[in-house]
Amino acid sequence: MIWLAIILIGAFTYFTRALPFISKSKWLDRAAGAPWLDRLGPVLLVSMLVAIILPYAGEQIVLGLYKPLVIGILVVLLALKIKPNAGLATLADILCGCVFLGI
Amino acid sequence: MSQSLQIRRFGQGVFDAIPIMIGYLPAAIAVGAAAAQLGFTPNESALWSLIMFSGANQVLFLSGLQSGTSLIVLIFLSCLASLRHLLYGLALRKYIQTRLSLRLWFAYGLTDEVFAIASAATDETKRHAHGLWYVGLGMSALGAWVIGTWIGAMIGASLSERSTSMANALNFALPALFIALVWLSFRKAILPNLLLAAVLTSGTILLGYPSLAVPIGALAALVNFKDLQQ
Repeated sequence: MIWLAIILIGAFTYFTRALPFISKSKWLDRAAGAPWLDRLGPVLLVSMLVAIILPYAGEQIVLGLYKPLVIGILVVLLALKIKPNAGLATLADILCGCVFLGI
Repeated sequence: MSQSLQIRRFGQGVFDAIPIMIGYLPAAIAVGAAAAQLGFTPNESALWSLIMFSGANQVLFLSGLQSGTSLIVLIFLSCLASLRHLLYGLALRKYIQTRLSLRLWFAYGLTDEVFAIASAATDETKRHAHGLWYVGLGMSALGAWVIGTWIGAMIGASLSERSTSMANALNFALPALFIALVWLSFRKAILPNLLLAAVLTSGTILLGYPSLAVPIGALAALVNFKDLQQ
């Protein structure tokens, strides 16, 4: 089922990328101009962040591991301040986690 | 058109994609490492990236799997998030006057970053405005993303096997990636929508419906706070 979902999402993503190169229809321009579409991406990211971090933070706090969590968040923010790149910030955080956990 | 000219144009597209490839590698490695934590093998991660080729949809997919969101809801949300690609194609289609097969190849690699480079090229110079240049650009970005995901999954899986402490360090990869993505996509103009999304999502989780949290939070995009203020 997971792979079926991956294929369906991949097919629809490709459809949205290819459609403007196939169709010359005017309704496409109107549909793509909807203001809520512009807000959807950042809003989805915030929702996903909260959905991931809230249960994760709850678990860590119950286990008494709030220090690595706070340090992890600070490292990501610091890395972003130095170089605004999501991948590098994540890798910096993983490396810092290794150092903190004494690996 | 001669074959050497075709190769040169494709090669120029690959060359112009180097900044994208450099930018993609760390993100793809992070996504691959996070996927490994959810049980994806390196080959599965690479195949997944090849099929979806959308960083936003892939992290949405990972977060959904982790938070227990149903696959149908995930498919729906990913399709909604993909609608932004229509904008890219609409903006570029007047510049890409080449045969349909090349336009369709290019469309496969049309991500946010590829759009940025392609639109800058079409605005600044017309010399690149050829189908093969676009194909070289898009396919190089795809290649970097797929290879990066494979490397990330490889590193993630092997390090997790080595020690549980390492697995703990990698567990924060996905939250860290999301913190970074939210930070980078932040716009002051939509701050009320972002706060509303956070409140709706956390409220839904606290009420005991974590699998509905993301779709309910996404409803915040529909509210136009500018209209409400007026």
